[in-house]
Amino acid sequence: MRKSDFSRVRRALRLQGEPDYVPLFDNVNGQVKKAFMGKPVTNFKEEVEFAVAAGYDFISLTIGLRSYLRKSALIGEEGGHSSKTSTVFRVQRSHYSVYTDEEGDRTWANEGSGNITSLKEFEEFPWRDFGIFDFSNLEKIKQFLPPEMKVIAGVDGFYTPVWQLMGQEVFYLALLQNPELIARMFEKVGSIQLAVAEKLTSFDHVGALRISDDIAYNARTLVSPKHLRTYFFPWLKKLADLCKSRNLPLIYHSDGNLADVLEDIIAAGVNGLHPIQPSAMDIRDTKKTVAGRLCLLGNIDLDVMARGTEAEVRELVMRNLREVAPGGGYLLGSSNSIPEFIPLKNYNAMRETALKYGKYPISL
Amino acid sequence: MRLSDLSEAVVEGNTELAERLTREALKEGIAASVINREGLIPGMEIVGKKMQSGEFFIPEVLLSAQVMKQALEIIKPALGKTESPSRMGKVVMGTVRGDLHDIGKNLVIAMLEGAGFQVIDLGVDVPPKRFVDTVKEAKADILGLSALLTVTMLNMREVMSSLSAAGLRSEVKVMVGGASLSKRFADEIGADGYAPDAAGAVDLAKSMLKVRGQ
Repeated sequence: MRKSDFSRVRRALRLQGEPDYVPLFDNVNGQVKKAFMGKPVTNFKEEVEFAVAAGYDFISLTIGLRSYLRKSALIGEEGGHSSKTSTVFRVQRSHYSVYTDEEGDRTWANEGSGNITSLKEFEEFPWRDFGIFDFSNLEKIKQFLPPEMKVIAGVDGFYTPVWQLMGQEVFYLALLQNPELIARMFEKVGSIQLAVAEKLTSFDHVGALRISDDIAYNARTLVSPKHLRTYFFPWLKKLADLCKSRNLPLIYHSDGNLADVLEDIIAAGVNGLHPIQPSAMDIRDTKKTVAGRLCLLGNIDLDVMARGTEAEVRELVMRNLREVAPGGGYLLGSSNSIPEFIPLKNYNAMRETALKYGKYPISL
Repeated sequence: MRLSDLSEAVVEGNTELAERLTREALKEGIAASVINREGLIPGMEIVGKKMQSGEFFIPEVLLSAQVMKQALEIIKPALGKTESPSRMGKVVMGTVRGDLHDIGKNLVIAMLEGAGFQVIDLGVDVPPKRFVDTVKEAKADILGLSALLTVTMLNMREVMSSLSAAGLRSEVKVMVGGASLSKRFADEIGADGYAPDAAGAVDLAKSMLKVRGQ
């Protein structure tokens, strides 16, 4: 197994030519990690062991509003969270995993009406509860990190927490009918999340920041680029400016077809774009469009990883190594993450093929 | 008044204007079915085209659908007397078991109702038996299945086999949609069609019923 080395991730993100190997990039579900390691991965020492064994150069840690609200939903009102925070997400139990016959929980956001549907509810929301986030995990993990490994710290969005707090339908209609509420929501959520980011950049073992914020679906952006330019991109730019001032690259995750806003993403100052969803965007065309301006991450089709054969997964990896990796500026991974419904054999097929054939210069 | 102005009010998402024009039309003695067919439905057709061309996005479509719904409430009492609500066709819609994704399905429902279909919305996390029972009771023309996740979209297979087991497969057309879906998956499970977005779902539904000779 090659040695973990965050410098190859940094080099790819900074578009500084080809590193020694094509870096891997994914967020991996706990059940997949457990199957991979043959034992549960329950603490930071074991997380680092997994990352090293699987071929990653970093550990991911996310802090922010959405993480807080998900936890609130799972703990519930009886566990100490108010109904205003514990009901932003609903918990659904069903059979989602290929690793167990038992049902598991997933948290789902309100797509109808949420907790903040008016200016009055905005004023009454317990915003002060979000003033203090727990950064102790970032402090704890440092002792387990090998010197060449870093943390990619996650901020969980600007756009997404706004609609999750409002409910998606209320958010969409408010964009057109209640712009004052939308403006205040983005200002409040943006400020909270930017403060989190500022704290994240103060740790010297953080090697990059990542923001997860879906603004598109298969066909196009969810809302008009005009609305995104008014409310979302200014915050993405503030985050990118913060990262730049701390000499940290910024990765932006959004599913869907981003073709209409690629230039906005680049202009905001993002270094890497994830995951270039194959059913929405062609990564080869995208690379030509953004050449020299944006690193690309991900793209190995999640549907094939979930339902395809190992040979099909390997073929996708080989194709990307041949056609996307040369010249650098690419990190290979799935087209979303590695959730609990990805069989281990397919996850390994992706990783092992990339590790075996991803040495630069690529000659396949 | 001109019914094209009513269409325009729907496109613009102007509730006040749409309601006023609807009442004016009724006062002028224009039949409710004509107000619907030549005023409201054409408005939503334009909305659908604007969505497909990338001019309208989810907020604009939702707002127009809301305007149409409110105008329909005004003409509903009169409409029910002269026109079958399932004139265009009857559609049963739902998100499959384990999946709580709502908004995509709701957009499709809004567009289908805007096009004159009658839609029975079963909501989210719907078990296969409920789909089958509702299709049977309602004598539905089309069943629409939605899912967000790759893992929950696999539950669509169970719905298809349940339809077959109940002897209903040939009685109903099945269309599928959702972020993880594709035509390839639709073909794999034996669905009759896949729509990538809400406007596409309306075109698909219309073409499905044309094939059935309706």
